[in-house]
Amino acid sequence: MHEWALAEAIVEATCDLLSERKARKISSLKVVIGSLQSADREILRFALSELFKSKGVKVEKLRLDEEEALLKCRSCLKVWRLADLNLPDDVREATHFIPEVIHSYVKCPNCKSQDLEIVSGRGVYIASMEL
Amino acid sequence: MDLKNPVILKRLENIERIIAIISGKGGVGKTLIASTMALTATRIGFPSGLLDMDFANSSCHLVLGVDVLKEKPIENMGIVPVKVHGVEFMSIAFYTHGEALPLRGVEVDNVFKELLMITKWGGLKMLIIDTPPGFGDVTLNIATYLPKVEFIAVTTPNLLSLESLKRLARTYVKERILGVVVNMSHKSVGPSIEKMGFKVLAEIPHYNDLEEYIGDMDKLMKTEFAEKVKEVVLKILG
Repeated sequence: MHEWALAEAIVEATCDLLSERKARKISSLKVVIGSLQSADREILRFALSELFKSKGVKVEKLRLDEEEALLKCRSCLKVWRLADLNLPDDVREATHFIPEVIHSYVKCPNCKSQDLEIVSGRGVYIASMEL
Repeated sequence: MDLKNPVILKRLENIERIIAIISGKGGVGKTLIASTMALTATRIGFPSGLLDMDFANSSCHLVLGVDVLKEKPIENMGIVPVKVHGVEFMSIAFYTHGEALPLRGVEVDNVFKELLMITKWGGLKMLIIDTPPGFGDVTLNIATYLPKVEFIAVTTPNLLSLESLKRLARTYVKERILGVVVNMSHKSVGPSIEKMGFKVLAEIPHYNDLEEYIGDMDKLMKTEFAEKVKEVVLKILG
């Protein structure tokens, strides 16, 4: 369950911030899940709830939003959607752990360059937090 | 917000020493030395890990004889490294399936943090990190994000490699360099390295047949090269 490691990263970073502010409650937390990493939303939600609980932190509203992965060729500037690619399961599994390994498997559909940029939807991150 | 940093330190808290193998020039034998060091330390009773941070051209798995298509780290609330000859081993090659990984600066940074964030090491006496040549993103990240890291520099007696070492001696990581290993040595350059302010950990001769043992650690560990590497390990542990 790699999602637990992602959840732990969010909780640790959040708790560091809460300690600085001497707070134990979050009124709203918005986490974004990039489709390239394709973290399981329900496992991530469960892991976040459990880990926050273990730290004695109350999260009143937890929102998990998905973000579409877009790739851009640095050579010809073409932009395309990850969803348009038919990636084999083993590649999807590899990008689940380390999103950047997509660079090993994908070329620009227009000019075949491998100098690509992940424009959006890379991984899991905190989009906003209100205390 | 960079959400990974607190977890990186937490993941490394059960490791007593972290030693990164660096060099200014490529082709000096860092990977072979790093892999042999990890295995030597483990065999003499210091459980060690090996982390391949040469993302673009990872090759520790080739030295260890690990088939990255068949062997995989186990997923358990994170990623548990593969055990090879008793060494805990982690590499991006498990996810690139041994293919090239063309990355730019920010992407190197992301892979560096992601790998450290998800990898769950056991209690280790020593974690050896193999790095790409040069003083670039990975070396800077190691120096910045891993406060307890120590370095071992590898060079050949080649003039250009020694010049690169001289430059390294003027950088801010110099104080954290435990010493220098001279590899593929055909002449003694120890005194000139000491003049740069470095301790010479070993001068390892060039062995013509060493390549035959790549991928077969049992045979490699019986070579004179491995004996020389053992001297390095004993020096840094002592």
